[in-house]
Amino acid sequence: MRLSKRRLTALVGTLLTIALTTLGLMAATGSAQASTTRNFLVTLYGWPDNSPPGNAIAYPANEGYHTIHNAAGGLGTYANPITYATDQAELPIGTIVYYPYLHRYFIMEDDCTECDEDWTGSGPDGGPHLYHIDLWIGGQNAQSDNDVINCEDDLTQNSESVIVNPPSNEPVDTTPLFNSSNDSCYNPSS
Amino acid sequence: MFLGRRRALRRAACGLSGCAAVAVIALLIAQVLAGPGRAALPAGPADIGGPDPAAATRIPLKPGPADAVLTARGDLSRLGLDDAEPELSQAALRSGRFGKRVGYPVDGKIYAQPLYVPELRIGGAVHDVVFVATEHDSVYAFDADATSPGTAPLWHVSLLQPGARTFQAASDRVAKNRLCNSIVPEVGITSTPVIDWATQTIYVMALDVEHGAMTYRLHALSLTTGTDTHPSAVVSASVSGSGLDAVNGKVAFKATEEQQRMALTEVDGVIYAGFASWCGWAPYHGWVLGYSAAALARQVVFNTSPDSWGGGTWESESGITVDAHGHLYLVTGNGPFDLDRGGRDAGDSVLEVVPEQGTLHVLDYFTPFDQLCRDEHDQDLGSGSPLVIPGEHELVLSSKTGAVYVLSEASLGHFHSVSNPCKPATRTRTNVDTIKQELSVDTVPGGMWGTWAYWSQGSTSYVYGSGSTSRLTQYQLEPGGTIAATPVAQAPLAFSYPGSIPVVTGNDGQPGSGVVWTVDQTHGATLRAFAADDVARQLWNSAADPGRDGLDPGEFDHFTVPTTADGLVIVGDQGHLEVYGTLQG
Repeated sequence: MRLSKRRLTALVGTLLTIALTTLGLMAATGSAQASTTRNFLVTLYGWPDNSPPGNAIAYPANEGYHTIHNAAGGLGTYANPITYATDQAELPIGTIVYYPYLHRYFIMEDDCTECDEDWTGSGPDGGPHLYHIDLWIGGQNAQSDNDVINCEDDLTQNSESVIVNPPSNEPVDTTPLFNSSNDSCYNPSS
Repeated sequence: MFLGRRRALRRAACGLSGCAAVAVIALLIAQVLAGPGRAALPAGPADIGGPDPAAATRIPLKPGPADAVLTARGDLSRLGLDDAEPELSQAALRSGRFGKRVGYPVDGKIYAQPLYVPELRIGGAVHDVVFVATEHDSVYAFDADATSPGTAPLWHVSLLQPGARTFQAASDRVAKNRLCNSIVPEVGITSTPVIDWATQTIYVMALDVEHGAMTYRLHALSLTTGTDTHPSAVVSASVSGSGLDAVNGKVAFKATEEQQRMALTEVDGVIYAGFASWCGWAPYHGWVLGYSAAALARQVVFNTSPDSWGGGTWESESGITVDAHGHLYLVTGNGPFDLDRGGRDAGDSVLEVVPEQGTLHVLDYFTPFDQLCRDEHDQDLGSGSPLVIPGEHELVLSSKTGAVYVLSEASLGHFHSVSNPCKPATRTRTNVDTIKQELSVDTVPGGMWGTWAYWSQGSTSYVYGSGSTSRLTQYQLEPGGTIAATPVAQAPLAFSYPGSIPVVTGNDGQPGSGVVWTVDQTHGATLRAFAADDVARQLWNSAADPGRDGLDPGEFDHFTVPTTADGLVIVGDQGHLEVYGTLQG
């Protein structure tokens, strides 16, 4: 097909637009999807850490956020990662991470004031730009909130490797991090 | 047919023997007058300690008539003891003739504790009056003696401003643009009002949404008409600071970040209101604001975390605990803490404060060694208020961790650090804090959202604590005021979250006359009565005859504190003001 100059210009423009848009999308997506590994302060939180105790989250899917849960939860698989919280400036809402220490995936769906502080440098842990994620552990109906909290503290790691935007084929252990039926805490080395 | 009740007996009992409750309050005053001296603390950058400007002050802890309930839990020591109730005897509760006398319909949920004034002249007649506030921003005065739910209130006012509405939990967004469901479906008046007896004024803090803006207003209402005696004061404040939400070195009060739940407290002509978060979402602060009772002019601005965030003052809706010097004891929720390093942030701390130069001056403080863990896990120390134990110069409190603290008023204990405070083996230690007594985490299983209660018969005194997901538990006080670690008795059932906040009635300390009252939501909202000398014995509960005595079905009103007075037990319910007493006919 022979193209007129006008049509060619229009076509080139269109292709350029598509290309730029695609590149832009790729850039945006790429920046969200390119796997990176870095060390984080990794803490955990659960039912008793909320007021009132519960599993409400800051960025539920049913309010239009790019998340998958309406309340904190998940299994730890790539398809159903567990909720985590951090500062939006540190990791965007909906960002999936893989945490080798606990052998499971997590998704950014909640806010964490201490993470905010660590990112801005106004908190007790250091910073600014201290990478800090807070992982959901559950804990509803625990016999004692202190059992949940002790489990959170047992699993806390001051500096541990985390893969941001990981591949989907990492090994997964879906054993509950905290099992409310017997108040037991996950043992990463077992 | 429900007929009137006998109150003459109570009056006679008071008149002849002197109300034991008054005696207890007198004891509290006496202990302060003769109390231990306070060692001056070194003044640091946070200006803690130093001379006590209120050392010579003496205030009444229970002003007004002996049988009035003018403030949360009956008096400023928050004792929750009404020891002049012969009609509420254990025998009466087992007689089958105790039950709901009337349930007055109201226009919203009642979170505030009802207040009670006997023999008040309204509209040319004398009434025993119950005052109650609702989450729909209404305040009612009801005749306590009437028994027909159709009886019109003595007065009813709405504190909604023209064109305004209540806060809607499902749609009004608060901190960080989030929804908060701690109180649903609406929020208006949550805190218990306070009554100034001398001026016959009831002070009420109301929240509404005015032209889209959440607005707190402090109202002063005539006790006899409900009309505003002064233009309401719009709550606003700021302090210097570098906190999480500071702008140009200032931290400003924002209604969207502050929920007002603590009962209003009047001390020495100042009405205090404590504020904390909406659902724990930062940035928020603990604000305590004081307004002159006479003119509603703001006189006190205090922020517990001006250089960080948190430290909310909510105490499961109790009021500020006060001693007879007029010292205020605040307990803050989780948040950063640096008082020990000369800072001004006071998360998870008991603060003994007095008003000074427009703010509150910290005379003394206690911060548990596990403060950092509390801060990280929302384990507020301030999930309840301290109880002043009569005659012992001490405060008893628990918290969300279920640890129990007995603090000497002479020296609260400050802060003592320990390495690895968050490790489980460390958190159970009781020898790090230097306080009068400490019982380990989980002593109150599930943690305590609320306040202890107290009862004394003969030479034996007890305290009662109720945990979330655990049983109401009775402990004996040992000589010297420490708590015997092994409980005396436990209620036969565990209460679901958030437990209950007990109060006690009795008859002048007579053995066997004490009754512990609770409201819980374990099997639907239920008012219960337990024998104070053995809480394993449940004497009565409103669910036994739900058609006659039941509370409203549905979602429970948290932190409900029954009001007892003149043979009545009064409960703020979800759609009614419930009045219990002896049924006749």
